[in-house]
Amino acid sequence: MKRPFSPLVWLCAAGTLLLAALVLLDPNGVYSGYVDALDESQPVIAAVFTAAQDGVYPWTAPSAREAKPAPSFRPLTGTVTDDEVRSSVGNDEPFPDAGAVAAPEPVPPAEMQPLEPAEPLDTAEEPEGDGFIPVDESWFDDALFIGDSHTEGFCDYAGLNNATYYFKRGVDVWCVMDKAFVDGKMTIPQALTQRRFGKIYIMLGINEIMVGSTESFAAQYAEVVDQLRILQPDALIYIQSIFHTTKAKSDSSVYNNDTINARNAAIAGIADGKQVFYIDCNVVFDDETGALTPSYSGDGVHVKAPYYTLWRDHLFQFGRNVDGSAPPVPGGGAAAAPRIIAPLGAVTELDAVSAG
Amino acid sequence: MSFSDLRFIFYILSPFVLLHTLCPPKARNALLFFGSLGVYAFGAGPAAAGVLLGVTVVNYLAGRWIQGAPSMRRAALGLGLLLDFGALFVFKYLAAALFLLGTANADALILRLALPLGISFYVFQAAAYLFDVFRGTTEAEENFLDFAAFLSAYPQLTMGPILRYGDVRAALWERKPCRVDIEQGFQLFAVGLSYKVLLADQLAYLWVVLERIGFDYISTPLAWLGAVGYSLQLYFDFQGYSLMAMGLGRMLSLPVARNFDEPYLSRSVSEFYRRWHITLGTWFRDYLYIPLGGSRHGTARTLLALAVVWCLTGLWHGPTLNYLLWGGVLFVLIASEKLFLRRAFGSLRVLPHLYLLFVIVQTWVIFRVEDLAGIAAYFRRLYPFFGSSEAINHGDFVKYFSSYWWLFAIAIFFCLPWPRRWYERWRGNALVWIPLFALFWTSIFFLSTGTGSAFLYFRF
Repeated sequence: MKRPFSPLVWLCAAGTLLLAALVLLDPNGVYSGYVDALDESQPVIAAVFTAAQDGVYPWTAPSAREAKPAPSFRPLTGTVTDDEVRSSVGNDEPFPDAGAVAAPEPVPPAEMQPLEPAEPLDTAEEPEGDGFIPVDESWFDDALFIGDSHTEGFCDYAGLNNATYYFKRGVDVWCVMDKAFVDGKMTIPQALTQRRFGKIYIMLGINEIMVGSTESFAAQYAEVVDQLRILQPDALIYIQSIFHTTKAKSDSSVYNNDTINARNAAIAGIADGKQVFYIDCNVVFDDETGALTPSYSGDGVHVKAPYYTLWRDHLFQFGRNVDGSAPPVPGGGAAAAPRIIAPLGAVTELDAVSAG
Repeated sequence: MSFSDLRFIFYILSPFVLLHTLCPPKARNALLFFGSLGVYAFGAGPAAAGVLLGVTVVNYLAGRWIQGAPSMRRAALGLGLLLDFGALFVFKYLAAALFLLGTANADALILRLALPLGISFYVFQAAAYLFDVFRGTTEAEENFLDFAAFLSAYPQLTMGPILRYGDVRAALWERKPCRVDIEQGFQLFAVGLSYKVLLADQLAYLWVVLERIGFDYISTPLAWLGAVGYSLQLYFDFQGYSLMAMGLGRMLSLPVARNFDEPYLSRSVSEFYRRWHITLGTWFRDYLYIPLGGSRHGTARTLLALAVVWCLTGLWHGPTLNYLLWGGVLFVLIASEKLFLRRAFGSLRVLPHLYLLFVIVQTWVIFRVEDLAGIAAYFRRLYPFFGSSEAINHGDFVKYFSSYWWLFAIAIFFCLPWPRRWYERWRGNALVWIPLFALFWTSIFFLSTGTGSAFLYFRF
């Protein structure tokens, strides 16, 4: 019987050597950033693939665009320290005390009592005064939500079917404006040339928790906000805090609440109180230790389905009187019974959504 | 360290095989043992390596004692098994047992945290060796390094298959690694890697999503989709790993037994567990079921033997109550088949397959969910006759089905008999190794870009 010959192992070995040589020799200089971004123990050959994921190949000309910083705990030397950022916010605590917010049992939304309005947002963050008015669902008719899987959960379970959602699992502040995930084919800048939104809610930060320093993260976040302001000059922009993780998750993984708090303090500084605002959403889900309430979460990071309506209701408190006319009729927000989630088929807005 | 870890594939696999091939034959087992121990210590820690070394020494001595001192063979066997299963109990079950008894304390929890990787596998492998020596099925291994190589050979150390000493002995004493072994072994490794990274790890995210949403809040179609998805994920994860072990063994000219034989084509649960994790099933058959009398002493005795075997099989998988429940459910199904179900099916062709798939998919939910309340919640979604939460998004099935249907289709296709038949017929042909070349590098892509399993759960 003819002995079978399979060159697979030899081809793979040759391929390994070739790719390793490409990375190490790096003729076009495109790989050094990716190699630095690798964990120390990982084979360098992995850089070929992380680069390819960004569309960078051995023949790609090096571009002027600044690469995403390497995952690191070392703060980059910058002009602003964490302390300075915190004091500019005027707040020693990264977020206001949540007060006595009882943790509700998981109950179907129709029976849930609306959340007691939280303590008013710490006015030190908006030197000119609060200016927020309560709104209802209709406020979100021209709202856009941008984010990662938290936003995806909100889209699926908060019952705000009139809003628009651009989300992608795994997205972060460095790639949110570059990746073509709107409708599976457009980037956010492209999509925003086609539609006008009255308000844009952003929630990002958990996926890049190990990337860059607090300062570089906040700087990149500010750049994203600036881009959005250019693309949608009339839109209000709401920066939503990064959600805490449960204490168990925080203690046992990189998704640490101290890091999250520092980053929240930094991005709160981007708010100007006139067109860009910061909303602390952690008051909705936190327990008395300042971590995500464990019974709310299945994985330590996200809340389970029925809790998204609490987040939605929290957002009802942060409407604005944008054009000087009479505010929308109050009392439709926090006091109203939470909506039953409409069947997905009845919604057209969500057709614009593309899942990651 | 997992076989699907980039560091294993690029730093350990080639040097290990190369050294092993070039090594003088007399030193091969020493290399195999020390090399395996080193890789194991690097991945699992020196404490775990210490436990492995201890188990190796104990069983080597016990085996020689059983053979060398016939008057004390029972004592030798008893002592060896006591130490083997004692170690397993202490590391794996003590904490859970104390917790159940209400006397859990921090020390026990510490022991639980330090569960040595693979201990459930190599303890069983060592115990089988002692039984075989005791029964005279095989001779005890006189050379410590040869025995140590058998027990710790890295391809089968951390996740099986559970080898029998008698099957491996000839290769332990003499192996001649050759080009064909290395080529065919690597090819099989590539198949296993692809199964794990491209099928199992990609399917895994669906279950992550269900846990994230909360079992009470998924729609019934999504619950069924999730159960089927997990059944496929588990199969390709374990089957993939077992194929990688077989492939690595082949590269070292060690025969590593097949662990899976297209189990989802079975027509009964009894048959399923002769085709799923085969080496564990045969272990329980040969060393527990048959010694308890098997099916030769009447129905009552058979049922008792089955009950014991399945409870212990359940507990082997884990110390939590859901595993006991899982074993119990399988016992009920297998007993029912023995008593009346097989007769009822008669010579029907299709219904038995449907029955098997219908029940097995549900048993995997019990296997997967560790807390009983979670299992109850999941089954309330599978059978939604008890009302459902208003928080359910009724579009969830369409959403996830449209993302996953093609992955399910591919996975189901690879559960059918043809892929394996074609592979075995055409294994030297370019039609096989060209796609495998592409699949290998695609797997490396997924592992590099962090869409492999461990990382998958950490991208939100």
